[in-house]
Order: sequence, then C-alpha cells, then structure tokens
Amino acid sequence: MWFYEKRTEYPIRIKRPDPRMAMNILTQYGGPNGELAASLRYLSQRFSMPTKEAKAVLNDIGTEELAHLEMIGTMVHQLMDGVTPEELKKLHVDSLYAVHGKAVYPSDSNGVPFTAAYIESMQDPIANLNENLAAEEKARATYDYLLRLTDDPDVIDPLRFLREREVVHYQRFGEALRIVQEEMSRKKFY
Amino acid sequence: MDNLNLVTIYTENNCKGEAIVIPVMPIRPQLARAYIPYQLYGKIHSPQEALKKGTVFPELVR
Repeated sequence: MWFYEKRTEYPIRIKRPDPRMAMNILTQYGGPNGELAASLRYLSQRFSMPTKEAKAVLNDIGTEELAHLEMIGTMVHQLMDGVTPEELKKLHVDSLYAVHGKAVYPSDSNGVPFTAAYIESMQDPIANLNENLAAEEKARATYDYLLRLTDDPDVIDPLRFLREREVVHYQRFGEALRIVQEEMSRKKFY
Repeated sequence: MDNLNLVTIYTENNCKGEAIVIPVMPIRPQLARAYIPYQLYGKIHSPQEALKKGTVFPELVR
C-alpha cells in the first residue's frame, strides 16, 4: 500500500519552455533505462528476494522510482508549456505532437512505446540484483547524456538530483547483494 | 579501506529488529562474484545540503 504526497521529491519550476529538451528527457519516462522500467523492475522482483532486508531495499527504491517518474513527467509537461504547433514545426520536433498532442506518454525520445520487455524479474535473486546494478549505471549514464544537452539551470538541477540518486541506489543494491550472498552461503554450508 | 571493518545493520521498522553484522568487504572473496563494500555510517549533510546534492552521505556524491 502507498501513501501519496502532493509534491515532487525535488522541486521543479522550469520557466523557459524547450520542446527539444522535453523530447530528450521523455526517454527517462518510458524509455529502456527510464524510471517506469526501474520502478516496475524492482517492485516485481521484490517478491523473489530471500531476506527481509533485500525485499525492503527493492520496495523502497521501487517506490522512489515512482516519485522520479512523477518528476520526469512534470519536467516534460513544463518544458512543453505554452509551446505552439508552429514552434514545434520550426524546431522539427512535431512528430510526437502528431501522435499524442502535448500529452505525456510513456515512450522513449523517438516515440517507441514503453514495454515490459525492457525489464526482467527472475526467481534467482543474484541475477536480479546484478541486473539492478547495471540498470542504475545505465540510468546514470543517460542522465549524463541529458545534462550535456541543456544549459538551463532549472533543468540541470533536478537532472543532477536524479543522477545522484542512481549512484546512491547502486550502492544500496550492492549492499543488498552482499546480504543475499551471505544468506545463500549460510544455507549452503550449515 | 580495511576489509576487516564490520558494519552493523539494524533491521525492521525504526531499526528495532535483529542486528546483522557484515564485514565491509568479504573476508574470503570468491571468483566470479560481484562485491560492493558496505558503507560505514559517518558524517552527514544538513537536510538543505542533502536535498541539493541528492544524498545525505558526502562519500556517495559523484
């Protein structure tokens, strides 16, 4: 069960619309290394974790990824605020407008729709946790790419925050992996 | 980092569950396994600084 707080995890107040950056950031909404994939991956895998601590790590991080999804959606929405179809045409970023208008739809930057094929959830907790370490690095790399594509501090600040969270999550998954390794070797020898 | 350093993890809500003691790095690491050193609890950022940085832990800022 969840409780909802009516605010974003990190404040987002973008003053300058930038439809190109909106499309770039969209990949972190519904793309292969995005926040929706991360959230569904961890919240599905938590059932297969052998210890309460590992379950809790997946539950907490999976929940936080939902808050990040909300942040990314807010950023995409604000970056499109007040933008006209004519401006989109001029910038050559009108193809997603033709499909969804200015709505926030879970796809990558090229409009490829979200699919659960981006994620895995296996019975083997070691396999899951190794996937999650890779997932955090891939998301961190994506934020590095995105940060090179903008000079707007209103966009840079929340992106930097999200990038740092990937680093922290990597550490926590590493610690969960250690706990699971210890637990599994205990079971093997005693 | 000293591999023999031990980390104590207090489990369950409000850390009221059993304590798990785990070495920072495995004492006998095995081949073909991934290991991340356990984080030791140290100094932390103020809440304002932590929100700006994205973490309360200075050693995790990259």
